[in-house]
Amino acid sequence: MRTPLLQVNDLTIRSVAQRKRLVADVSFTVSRGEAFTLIGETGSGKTLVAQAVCSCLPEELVAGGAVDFKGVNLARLPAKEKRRIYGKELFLLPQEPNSALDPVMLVAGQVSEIFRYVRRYDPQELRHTLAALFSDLGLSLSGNGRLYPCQLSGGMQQRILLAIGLAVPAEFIVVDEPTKGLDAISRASAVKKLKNLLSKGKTLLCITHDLSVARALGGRMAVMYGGYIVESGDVWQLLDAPKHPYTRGLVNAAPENGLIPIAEEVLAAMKTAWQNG
Amino acid sequence: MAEQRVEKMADYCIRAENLTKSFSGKGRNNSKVLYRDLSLAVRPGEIVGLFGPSGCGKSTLGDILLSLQLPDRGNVFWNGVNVLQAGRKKRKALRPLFQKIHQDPGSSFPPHQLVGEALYDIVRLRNPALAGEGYRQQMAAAAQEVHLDEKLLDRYPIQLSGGEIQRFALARALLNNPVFLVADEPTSRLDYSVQANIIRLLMRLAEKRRIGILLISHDRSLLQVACERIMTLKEEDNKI
Repeated sequence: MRTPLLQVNDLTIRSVAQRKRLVADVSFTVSRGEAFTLIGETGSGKTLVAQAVCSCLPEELVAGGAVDFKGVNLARLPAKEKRRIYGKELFLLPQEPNSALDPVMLVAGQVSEIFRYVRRYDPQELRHTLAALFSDLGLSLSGNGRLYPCQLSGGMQQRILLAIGLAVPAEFIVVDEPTKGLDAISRASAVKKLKNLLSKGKTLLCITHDLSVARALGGRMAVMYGGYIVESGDVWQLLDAPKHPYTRGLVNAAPENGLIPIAEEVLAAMKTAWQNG
Repeated sequence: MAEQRVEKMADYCIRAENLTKSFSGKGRNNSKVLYRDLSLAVRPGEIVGLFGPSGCGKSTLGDILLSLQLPDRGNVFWNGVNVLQAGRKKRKALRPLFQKIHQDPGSSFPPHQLVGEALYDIVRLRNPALAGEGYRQQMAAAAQEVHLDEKLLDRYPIQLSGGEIQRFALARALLNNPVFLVADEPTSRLDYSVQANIIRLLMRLAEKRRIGILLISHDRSLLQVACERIMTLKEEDNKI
């Protein structure tokens, strides 16, 4: 049994203004060196869980329950301590590169900040590493690097974001939708990069709606719907023999499994089950 | 064989002949040939898949078919009419019949306008004789056709989910009674479950309303389910 790096217990997130529970009773542990994938559709609360794990929820939301990273509850740490951990031990790679990247800064500069200020490389070493990282992702430092995010295609922006994720020294990385908007080839290469991180001994919490990403990363996963965890377990076991009707529906909705929409009855049944607590 | 094809030409809602398109970017070695002498045709009620990696010119081909971009060489026929040589008036009359739904559903509606208003404009344009309640009925019917609640018409785009707004984009296109629709990665930003719903909806509509659809996607297994024929574009010249 590997030691748990992250322990989430009964995490509940509510919106005070809307008087609504957005995430309820989410519990899972991520062990050192493994991949844990959270799968769910838009609005299932998976991004909120990622933000709660990194203790960077939007201000109007309140989190209950406990999130322990290396045995320390991040939410209770003073801001200065959090800042020390953030980026060096724990890192959140946000989704939507459109809003995550700085629109008025050249993309090469955004990636190089990690090497310059977090890893403290000297300029020559930095340029060399940066060029290698860019070409590794199929980009060129002198060409694409000298552009602003809006001048790049969605897939290229996503790869720039991934470059930042690969550059950080943090051992625990939360990646939110790393493959959204990528074509099959770039998706495969992005997943391969994530697997490389794993083989370097890093720990991943991957948020995605793409079942093939979960399969490729392996490890364990949890399926979320409407703010709850529906089912969790070993990736292969769960996807090959899903027990919950929703997970079964999700697997069958994938194009390679026949593109069958999830039955309305299944969704309706889950909604009533939750309303009754 | 050739004669047989000539006879059937009128059967196609859209047909392209010997299209050549290249990009000339800035700087050295930046020009790129997307395709040479490419021909294709789509029949009413048929879904044709267009597959290829990013940057191979899938969207550009869709735009050329809709006459939103011009090819370097070649011809495009809408219902048998050569668009590139047709007069402005003729093209304008045909244009509403050739529609497109986009990849990013959020950006295909103006953010400050209720989706109902965006649909209303089309209804009014197509049915100038309608009055009062008639508009609302048409809009409600359009929403119903894509399995959406009429109440959602009174929302802003930001208040709708990606799947809902993509369906409204489809409803808006359908209000023009199109004969041909380019669906450019309509579900690449949507979840699996929503994707399955939208693609099944497209398949039903193609059959029911006899619309020819060019479905552009980078997901081959998706196209294998949805399409009768799949066309694969390869990169001819890999200079970006």
